[in-house]
Amino acid sequence: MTTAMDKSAIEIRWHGRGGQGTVTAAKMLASAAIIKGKHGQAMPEFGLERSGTPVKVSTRISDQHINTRAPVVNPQIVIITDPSLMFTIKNQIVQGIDENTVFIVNTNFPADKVRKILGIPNNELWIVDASKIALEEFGRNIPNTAMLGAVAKATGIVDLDAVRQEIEEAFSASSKLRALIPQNLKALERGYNEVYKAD
Amino acid sequence: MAYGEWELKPWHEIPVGSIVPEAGSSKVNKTGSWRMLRPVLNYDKCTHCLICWIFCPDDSIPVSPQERFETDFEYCKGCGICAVECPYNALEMVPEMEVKLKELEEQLG
Amino acid sequence: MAQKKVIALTGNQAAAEAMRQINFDIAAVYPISPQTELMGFFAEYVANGEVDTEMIAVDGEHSAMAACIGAAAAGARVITASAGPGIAYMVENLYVASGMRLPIVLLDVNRALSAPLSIHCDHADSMLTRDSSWISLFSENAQEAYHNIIMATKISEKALFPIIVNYDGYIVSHSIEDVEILDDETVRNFVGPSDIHRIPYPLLDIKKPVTYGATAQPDYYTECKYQQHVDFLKVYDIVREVFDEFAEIADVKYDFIEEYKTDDAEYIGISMGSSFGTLKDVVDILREQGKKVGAIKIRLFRPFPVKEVAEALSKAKGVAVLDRADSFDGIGGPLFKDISTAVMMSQNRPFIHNFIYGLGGREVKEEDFLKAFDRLERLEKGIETRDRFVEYLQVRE
Repeated sequence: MTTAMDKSAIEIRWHGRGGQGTVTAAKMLASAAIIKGKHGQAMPEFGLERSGTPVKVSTRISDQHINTRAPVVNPQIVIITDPSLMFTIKNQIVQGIDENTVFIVNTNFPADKVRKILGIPNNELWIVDASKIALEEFGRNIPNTAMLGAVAKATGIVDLDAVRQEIEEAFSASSKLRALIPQNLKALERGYNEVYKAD
Repeated sequence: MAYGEWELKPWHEIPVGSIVPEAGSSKVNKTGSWRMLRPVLNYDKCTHCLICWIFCPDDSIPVSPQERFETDFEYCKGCGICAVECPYNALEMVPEMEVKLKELEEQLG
Repeated sequence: MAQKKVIALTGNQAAAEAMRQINFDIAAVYPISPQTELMGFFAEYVANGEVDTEMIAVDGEHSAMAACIGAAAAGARVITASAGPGIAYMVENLYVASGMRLPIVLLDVNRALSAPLSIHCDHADSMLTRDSSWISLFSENAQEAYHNIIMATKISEKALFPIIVNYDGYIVSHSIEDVEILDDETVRNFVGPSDIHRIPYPLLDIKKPVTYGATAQPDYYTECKYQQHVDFLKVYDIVREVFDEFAEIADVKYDFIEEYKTDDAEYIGISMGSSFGTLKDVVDILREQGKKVGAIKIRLFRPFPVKEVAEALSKAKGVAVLDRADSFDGIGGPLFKDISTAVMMSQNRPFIHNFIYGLGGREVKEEDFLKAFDRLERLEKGIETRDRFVEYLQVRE
């Protein structure tokens, strides 16, 4: 729960698999907020140390200093970067949600199927095929930058410029990564434009 | 079972010393749950040569000396080695989500 | 005043940044989760020529500490990092380092000990270092880890005792938060240049050859230890001095403990590390409900701030000591014994109870600490009884 004092805090929970950049995306989101002068926090929870292990990230963005290190229990936004998790860890994904929780899902499934699988007939649902975007833009199923674009559009909690800045900084660490900046910015753009709100 | 969905036992039901007393316990870890691509076999082309079974790193292809049975999708991780090694190109790697969607549509009618 | 800027960093990144700014002479490296990443970031700085540090890759943590001892004895400014079983592996050399009175900085990214195997956070590894005569600081978040490392370098060299800076594995080390970092020049001026004559007997001063690591017979060992004992008591003043000097450049006033809403508190919770953030929020929730509660964070763990803790608890009715490690000794966790000693020494004897929590990375939720305060109040008022001073806060029955 957010404390009574900190109503300005937005609590987000990401669900992904290790190796897809979920943790990086969550961190970039927190960083983008910090660049704009807010307080941000991203706490990843890793399972076992292998690629493909389900990963959960608790993210908070707030105008006030964030004290708590508790995991996000009642998320306002749930982001799913790997569609297979809807089948394998559905209970963890929907834990603590209420009718106001917004879902942003990386999938090529039609909305009604997603609603059926997760059991969310009435929640606000945004869908983007981030994996397809990633495969088309740079040939690998790392949907994180496309997801960030989708999150920026769906929630408006960070603007695209801050995320662009963040990607350029994060990817300038090595020459190999720097070469991928244009494709990732394109993926970011496409994620922003192609995410749609389901009815 | 998938990661994190296992039963949570109370403290007194855990074997002494945190030992795992079952043999072959790794079988409960359904490694198929993280598959992205699934091998689909064209039985018309398959000659049951068992070469795919020899190469499968996960031991996910049940066989008899004469026959290759359907891939065990509880454990197949979708690495695609069987499809590459099959001398008759009888295996095609198909996106897992396509198969799941079809299964869902049949289930829901 | 220093130039500061706020950037998003994980605990490991913040620690690596501090290491880069201090520009250690030697860094001994051996990987272990969750600290591997930290040395990885630092190795990038070394490879890019941003620091003059010589990195020594060793075959194990025992060797890492041995390398640090050799280098520190020669007069170098040294650092290494480890976690969990890695700390356990280097314990033998921890006592050697402190017995030789060498300034060394050790970063302990708190991780549980095996068995069963766990890579996740708890304080068991730090508890192995309690009696080793190492100065020990705990950090609540990446910001404090960053500040603690800078101050630790100076404290260790002034006191001539090695020092451990603790921060929670994964919860702090791998989590992003906004960290305010100082500019390079301010940090370099604060720690001062590396000088081999800051230790009394540099090993490589060939004009004055010395022996390190001699044996002491029964007629001498006690006196050697008494000297160590007396000097370790001087660490309190040295730490306070460095905290004050740091306040001048960083505009943040640290002290041995941090008190949160304790002035009129009837019930006080005590914890170390990242859970204190959650504890503060829980105090706020209970205060909104009209309960008079407060919280204390132990920042300086060794030497233990007995006087300050006794003073802070002097008006409380009940105290919940939250231990992120268990001593399995029939009494309680390690922090509980330190707090109990402080309480023994004070005029007021509040009701103290010990809660073991967060072991092996168990998620610490606000509801857990709410339960602890509730249980403490019921015990103190006699509504419930206990047959032990210690209980586990989060176990499935």
